[in-house]
Amino acid sequence: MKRIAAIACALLFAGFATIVSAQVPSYGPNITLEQAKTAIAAGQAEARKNGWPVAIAVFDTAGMLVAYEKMDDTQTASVEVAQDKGRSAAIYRRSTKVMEDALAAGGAGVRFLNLRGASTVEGGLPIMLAGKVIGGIGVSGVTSPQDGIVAKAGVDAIK
Amino acid sequence: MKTRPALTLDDCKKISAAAEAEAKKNSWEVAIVILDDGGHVLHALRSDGATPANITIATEKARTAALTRRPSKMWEERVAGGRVSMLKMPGILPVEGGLPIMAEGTCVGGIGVSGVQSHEDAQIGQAGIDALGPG
Repeated sequence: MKRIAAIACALLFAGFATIVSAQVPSYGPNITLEQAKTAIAAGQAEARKNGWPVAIAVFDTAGMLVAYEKMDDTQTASVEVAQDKGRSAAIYRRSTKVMEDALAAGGAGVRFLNLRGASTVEGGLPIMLAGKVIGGIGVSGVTSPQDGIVAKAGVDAIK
Repeated sequence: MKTRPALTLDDCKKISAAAEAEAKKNSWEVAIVILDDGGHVLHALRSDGATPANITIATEKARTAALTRRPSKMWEERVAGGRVSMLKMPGILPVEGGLPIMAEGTCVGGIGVSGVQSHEDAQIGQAGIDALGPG
């Protein structure tokens, strides 16, 4: 019994160490309102091109909302889900797809369900500038891979 | 079947841009939030000089206005008038700066502003609503 516990412990710490040691970029300055507007406009252009009604939320490095827009006919639930994804990406400095994949892998990855403020659904990305995280963007409204495509269009607009 | 008007994203952009212009004109750093009649966020922004708290306060002012269909100032005045039990009303932020958005005689949402003095916040919100035209 003791032995099993020790092995379980070791496995848990191994998983944790993997996460901690993952290459996570540092925070840079906070995203500006102009940059946030640029990211939302680019995301919306991608969404409109595909006929995807989505909500897009942009957060600063503190996980506080900077700008947000909901396209017409976006499902109501996406108002909050987009914000959950964007905040998660900003405060964990990782895409929510990373969380989703870790959870899907099972085992120690299941703990992502219990990480405060973590979203485990694709569609949230950290916003980078000069190798630093300046905020996060979250998209919701269509399938999560499609949300991810819109989020990426937003992130790519910040240079 | 009854139909009712609803705010589109274009409406929100119009309202928000006018409110932002009013704030910029006065060099006021604020957060501006627009909600629909269910209290769901349609549009939000926070200028670089506004505090993180402002976005939350603006949202709660907008929610107060959208869901009670009255300016948040009305609630502030009721509390100031001595009706302190109003502080216990669910979802109410009794501080000026939240206004209902009216169209065709019905409330279609609310706008909330936070960052400067409360009456200035309301002035910004009103500038936004005025851009939408007569409700």
